[in-house]
Amino acid sequence: MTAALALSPDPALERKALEAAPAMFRLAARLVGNTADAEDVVQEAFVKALASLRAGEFRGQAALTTWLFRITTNVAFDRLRRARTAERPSEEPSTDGQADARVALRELHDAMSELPPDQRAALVLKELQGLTTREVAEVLERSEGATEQLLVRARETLRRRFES
Amino acid sequence: MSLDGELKKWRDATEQLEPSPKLMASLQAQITPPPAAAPPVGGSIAMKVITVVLITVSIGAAAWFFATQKPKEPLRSARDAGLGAAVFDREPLTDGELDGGLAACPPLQEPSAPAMALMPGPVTPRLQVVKEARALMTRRPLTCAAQIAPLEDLRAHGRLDAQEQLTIDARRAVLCGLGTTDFSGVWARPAMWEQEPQRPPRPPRPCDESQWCRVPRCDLTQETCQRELAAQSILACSVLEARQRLLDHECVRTLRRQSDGGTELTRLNTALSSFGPDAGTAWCLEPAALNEAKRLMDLKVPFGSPPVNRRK
Repeated sequence: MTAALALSPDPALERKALEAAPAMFRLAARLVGNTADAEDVVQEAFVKALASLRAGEFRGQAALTTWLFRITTNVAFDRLRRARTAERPSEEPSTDGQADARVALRELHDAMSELPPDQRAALVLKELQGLTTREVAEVLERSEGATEQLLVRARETLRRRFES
Repeated sequence: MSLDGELKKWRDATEQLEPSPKLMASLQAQITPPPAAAPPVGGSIAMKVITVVLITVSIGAAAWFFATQKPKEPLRSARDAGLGAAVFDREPLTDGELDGGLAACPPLQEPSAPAMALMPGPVTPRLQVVKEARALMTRRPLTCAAQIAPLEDLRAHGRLDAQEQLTIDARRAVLCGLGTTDFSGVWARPAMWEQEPQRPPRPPRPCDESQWCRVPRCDLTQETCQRELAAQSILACSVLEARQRLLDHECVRTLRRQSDGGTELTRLNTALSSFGPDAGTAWCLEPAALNEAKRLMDLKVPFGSPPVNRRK
């Protein structure tokens, strides 16, 4: 309790984290392939992020968004490792005009199912989230060169899949 | 279509995705509110006079309002009941400290065979966890052990593979049993409950309306509540009674007093936030919560150890 009281939350950082939640959600959805799981991922990632912020573990070496994406990516892959695809709860019928997005998510998930997690994350972060290679490298905690390699391999695998 | 074309198509399509308002509200509830702005310094004398007059009038109006409100037995909100400062405003603690708090709670009893038989197969493990946790809650709705450790109990019964890592779902489900209406989305996915065994509807029992509108401000939404309650054949007084018994229950107090942090507490905070001044509204508008309360009351399930500070 004493240790807990010694922690000092930074409302401004927490507010910025909240503002990043929609982007975290899109990243999570693109990684796990459905919005229901994506919401769970964001919830869990946000809780972890808040705990880390309050413990002073975020030191600003990376941009806050990059750091949040890293947490989101890790939580998403933890979840994918635990879940079996066939047992994933089906999406609710969409009534809010997001049906196209959900179809796209499903296609994306199917297409990327053959990719190893790091390649999938690299491709999603770069091509769908719009991060630079350097930012992707920061999220994945890799060098830029290693990240480039991940991207090349991911694209190669996907290209072969489409050609076949 | 080329790979780049496919990627662009996926990017554009999924760019429309937005988190649900429920999720955003849940996240919002977890962040630290910004510090209150400092009062302005200076200003004209006229402005100060006007400010003093406005404050005086506001205090007077508030005093008059509260003086004229005479609820027969005003129920306390979660914060009034002590769930506010202790739970909502506390910093995280470790899991160990959380476990220490829970150790003071009574042990979980084994669920009966009928409770375990409620779940038809095949269901997904995720759904199974939710259902079984719910069944456990039905049997022993308010023990701390049931609140926090249903998964181990389910494993002990061989209902879950030991490798399943669904603790979060199970805990969420159990927290939902506390009356959560906006927490994990578990309750918010009606499709998950489609495989629920259908029970024959029970005839509504008479309920003294003078009893159920004891919640301050509940009468503001009485019409809405009654409509919802009629649709659900719910005894409103039972719902409120269940809620009050929950708030008064020693286990909740113990949890609040001795466990004040970590992920679970953050989640618990979110869960308990639905017990605010508008709790009557929240209950009335959440069929799943109503159903759960109805189930508890209909089954006349004992609420664990005797509640403390129970109002007459």
